[in-house]
Amino acid sequence: MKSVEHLYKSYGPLVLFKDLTMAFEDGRITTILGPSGCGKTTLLNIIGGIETPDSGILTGFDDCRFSYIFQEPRLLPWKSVRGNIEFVVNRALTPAQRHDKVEELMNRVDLSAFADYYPSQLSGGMRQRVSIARSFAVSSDVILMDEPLNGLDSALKRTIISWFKQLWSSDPRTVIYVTHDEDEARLLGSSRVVKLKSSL
Amino acid sequence: MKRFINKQTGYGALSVLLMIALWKMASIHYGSDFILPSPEKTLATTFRLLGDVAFLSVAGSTVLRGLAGFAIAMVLGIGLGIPAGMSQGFRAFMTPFLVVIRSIPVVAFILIALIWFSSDDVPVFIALLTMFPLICTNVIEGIKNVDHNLIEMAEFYHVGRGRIIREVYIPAIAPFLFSGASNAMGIGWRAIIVGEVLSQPRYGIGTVMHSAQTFLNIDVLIAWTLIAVLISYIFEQIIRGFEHILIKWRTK
Repeated sequence: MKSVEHLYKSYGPLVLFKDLTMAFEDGRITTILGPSGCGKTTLLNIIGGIETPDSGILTGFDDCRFSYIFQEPRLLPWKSVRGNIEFVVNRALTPAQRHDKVEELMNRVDLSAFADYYPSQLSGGMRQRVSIARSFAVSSDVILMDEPLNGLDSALKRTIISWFKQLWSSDPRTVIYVTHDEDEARLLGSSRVVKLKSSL
Repeated sequence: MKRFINKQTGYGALSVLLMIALWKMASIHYGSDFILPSPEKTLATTFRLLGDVAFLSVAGSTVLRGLAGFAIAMVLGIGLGIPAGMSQGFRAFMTPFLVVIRSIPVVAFILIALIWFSSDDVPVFIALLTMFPLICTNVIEGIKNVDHNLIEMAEFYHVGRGRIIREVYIPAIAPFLFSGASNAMGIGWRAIIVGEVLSQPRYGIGTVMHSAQTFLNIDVLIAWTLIAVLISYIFEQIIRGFEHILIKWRTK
């Protein structure tokens, strides 16, 4: 079990978190639901260690490795689908091992046929699939997802979530998923849904 | 698509033909080889020069000077442009240098360089000074335009610093570097030839252009001009070729 306890964070007069406590089950999906501006991204950044809270205790995240799926896929435009996934794979693996890992992941998200395509040649949904495959290419303990389906239509959301769940069920990791969309939380089959209130 | 390209090429050819026709008409109007020789006579002179034993030493010297200036300008432009792009302080420090170099008339540099350097090196120095600010400015712009989200992504995934520079920064600035290099080459050749006209090295296109002008061999003067244009065009194409190979992710 991982948790954040008694978390405080404010930016000047804007108080984002006041005594926030939240638990995350290992190997399960926890969805944090809240309107925009309530500090969802900040919470992910604090968990991921990019931002520091004013005060509070984080338990269970100390030796964690993280993967991120961002709102925008953040792919390198000059690398192919294969190259983008390979980019993050641990350099301690041999080139052959890295290659196998990338091929397997591309297969999983059904992008093998597009292995040599550049991001500019892919649709928005395909790009986000590459980003999902990339997040499984590192041996992370926790996957942080920051509204990765924003701006996609609901049919596409459904298919991307099913790709994600397929990958995730074969390689379950702790997932912390933030969104403002209740449908996404339900489709994802989260084990917990935590609601954050707007601080504005 | 194919038809479109053919049409474009057709208009390009039309404009070249028009230039030659105007030239021919002007040469008939003046009726003197000492003022304006005809296009066909100039073309014949050009071919004669191309076959001449001295051609390689003359054109080769100019090309080597250009390449030397370009190579130094690239090394300095990239070497100073990357840190200037990454650090605001260093950029503020570099800006006055770039502005001063860009605004000083080329001729002033040449006149000073004539005192400082040997006649062979003056054109190299001039090439360097005209090319360096263009390359450096483009590299700085390139670094400033690197998508910070991509750097953040790479850092999240613990990609090493060296790989971030090689696989994120460098590809991101490549299009800017190519456009800087192509601008620099275009302006550089002209500056080198002006430098050669004034410094008179033993071999050089500028040197032979100056003596052709002195002896009123206008056909030779224009023929060397055509050769200079051709050299500039060839190098432009070489840069475009490299760009096409290295930035294929963009053109697709």
